[in-house]
Amino acid sequence: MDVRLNDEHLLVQQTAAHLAADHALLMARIDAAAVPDDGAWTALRDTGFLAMHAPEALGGVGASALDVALVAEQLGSNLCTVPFVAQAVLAPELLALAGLGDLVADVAAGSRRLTLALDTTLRAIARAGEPCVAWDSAHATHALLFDESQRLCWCEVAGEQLPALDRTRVVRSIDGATSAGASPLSVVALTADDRARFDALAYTMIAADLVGVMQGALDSAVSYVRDRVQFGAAVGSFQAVQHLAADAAALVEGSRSSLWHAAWAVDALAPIEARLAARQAKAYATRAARQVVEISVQLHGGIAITWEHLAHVRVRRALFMGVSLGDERAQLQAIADHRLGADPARAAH
Amino acid sequence: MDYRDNAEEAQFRTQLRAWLAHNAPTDPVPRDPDERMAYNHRWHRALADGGWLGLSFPVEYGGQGRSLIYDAILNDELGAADVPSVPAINHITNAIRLFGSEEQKRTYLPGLLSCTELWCQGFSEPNAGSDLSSLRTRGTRVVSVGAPDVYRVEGQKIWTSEAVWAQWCLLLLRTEFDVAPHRGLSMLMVPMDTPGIECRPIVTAYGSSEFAEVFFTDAIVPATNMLGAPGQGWTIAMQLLGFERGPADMGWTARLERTLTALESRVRAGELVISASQREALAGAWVELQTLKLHVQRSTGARLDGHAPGPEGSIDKLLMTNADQLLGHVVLDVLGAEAVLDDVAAFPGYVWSRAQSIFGGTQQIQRNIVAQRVLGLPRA
Repeated sequence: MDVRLNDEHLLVQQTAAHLAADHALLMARIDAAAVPDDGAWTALRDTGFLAMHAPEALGGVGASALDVALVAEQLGSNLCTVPFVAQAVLAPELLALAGLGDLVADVAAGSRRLTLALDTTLRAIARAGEPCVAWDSAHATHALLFDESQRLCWCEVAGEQLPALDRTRVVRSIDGATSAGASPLSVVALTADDRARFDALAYTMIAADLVGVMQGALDSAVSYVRDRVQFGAAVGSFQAVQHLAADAAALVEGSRSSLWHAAWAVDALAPIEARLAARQAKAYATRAARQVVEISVQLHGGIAITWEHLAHVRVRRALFMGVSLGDERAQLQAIADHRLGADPARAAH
Repeated sequence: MDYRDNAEEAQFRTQLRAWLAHNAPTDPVPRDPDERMAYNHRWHRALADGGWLGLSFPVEYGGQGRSLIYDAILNDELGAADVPSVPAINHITNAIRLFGSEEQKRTYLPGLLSCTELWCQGFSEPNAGSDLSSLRTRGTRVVSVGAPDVYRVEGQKIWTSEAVWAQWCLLLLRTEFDVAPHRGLSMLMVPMDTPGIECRPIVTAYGSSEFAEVFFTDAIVPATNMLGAPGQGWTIAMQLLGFERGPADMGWTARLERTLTALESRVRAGELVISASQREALAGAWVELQTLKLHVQRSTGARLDGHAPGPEGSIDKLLMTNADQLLGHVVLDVLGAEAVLDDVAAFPGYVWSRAQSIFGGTQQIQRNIVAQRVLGLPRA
């Protein structure tokens, strides 16, 4: 056992930190109708961060899920609006699992923008024919979904933009007719193992984004309470304040420890085990992220509930990502089914 | 990055499992405190004789010089085998290794590592718990012509684990009086059979008596029994507390996991019928325990380069407390009436989960450490 980042991981992390800082969201003034694309996509392409996890043989970069998670974390902590998780990681992963190397290569080259279509519970990839949403779809022309026989399809992303909570992402509706008209991309259905492998990567990437959001929220709060003076002292010197910050730090580090394991598991364990590890990381990070952004709001005081301050952008992103691809309860139910067997009460219904 | 054993670790684990299969105690842990102590002590001697202790301790001092991972594997496997954990000597052996003279290391380490001599740690006092540096037990240096210097020790310790059975006490006391409180502390290695030492067991809320009060009345201790220099006690104590955390926590994690899996198997067998929300609560406890385990593994990884444990260990303690106390509640909830109709069904574990946020530095002290020494917030 050796649970350490190696020099290559650290290099990826550092590179991602620079890229994310260059494209950090610095002000909360975002026009929901025009989430900025300030060249971050091009920067991701030039750095080799597009189609990052897809195998090289299929046009991807072939990086480890841990490397990809480190990038997602940095983009999350800087509240970057670039749709990395959906478009640079998960869409190409589906394409790769379906053996669609040409499309993966297009994504890697930056010339094709695809996202995922999720069902309206946001729990899973949508099924063709049902109304659904194009998740994290800034600049995406098409969204990926499955047909009845688990074959990968795509449909156009042309519906209206939803007033989604997360101000750093564009979410559009896809009506039933559009989704019913989705065209198959492959004649081969994804296997159950493929789906589990994909879920593992997807839950892990969301956990990574959440870890980033949490870290950003904690850093911001710590630096605020160090400077803010009341009763003639920095409020960060008061135990009541320190204890909230310490609890937040424990939640961030616990989430990160789970994340590293889940990311490692994506590439190292059998699909079912990898998915369980990812559910664990996502369940923990979802609850932790909400607690940490709430602590951050509390430590910032009144300024945090204003439109101008980034705190609400973090809260929004944490809540949105927490629900995406199965909230904490959904993950816990699946974990319970795995560890306890299916719920006899639910089976009776 | 790899969470799996490498070839050598896997071989070690296999050998350990085989040894455990033949040597683990099969009789149940006695309920009587004295019998239980003897039971644990026999087990610790067996572990030492089997060559399973001091795994990561330097070879020159009787250890095996392996990486910390091996301690973690040992703790993990003992937990999985449902046998008592390793003796809690890691902090004392490291304190002697780091601060003792060569002669002291040769004198004390073999007995510690072979578990032939049992040590206790005399730190807390009735009026010095979290505020350890205010402790009042005092040692007065007595210089007499023609005889070696001695300390005359007066005072009282409390919460001293296993004091009743120990042959030695690592005693933190005040020997210097005209300096700042924490600079006046020193560390003495005191034979427990010294005249003037009296132990009085403390019965815990669930009826065991592993703690004791220890009274010192004119106890005479040779000055050569001092660990480090006069006034160095605080530094030694702080280093030593860091070693109390770390891979050893994995033994704790494994015990908590065992509690959870025992409950889960009763649910799977249909012996316990639980609601959908209790299923989620069990899954939530598993998530929390996994987080703890994975975090301790990461902390162990961070120490592989050889640096001593730092304030980050307090994050491990916070996570351990959260997991332990959450599990304590889930067990009570899932067992329902069983937990209150049978005194030993859940209550001992529950009481320990409450103690978890008190011993080894309270939850509040751990938060202070994280806030000030990890996050860099200012002291009041």
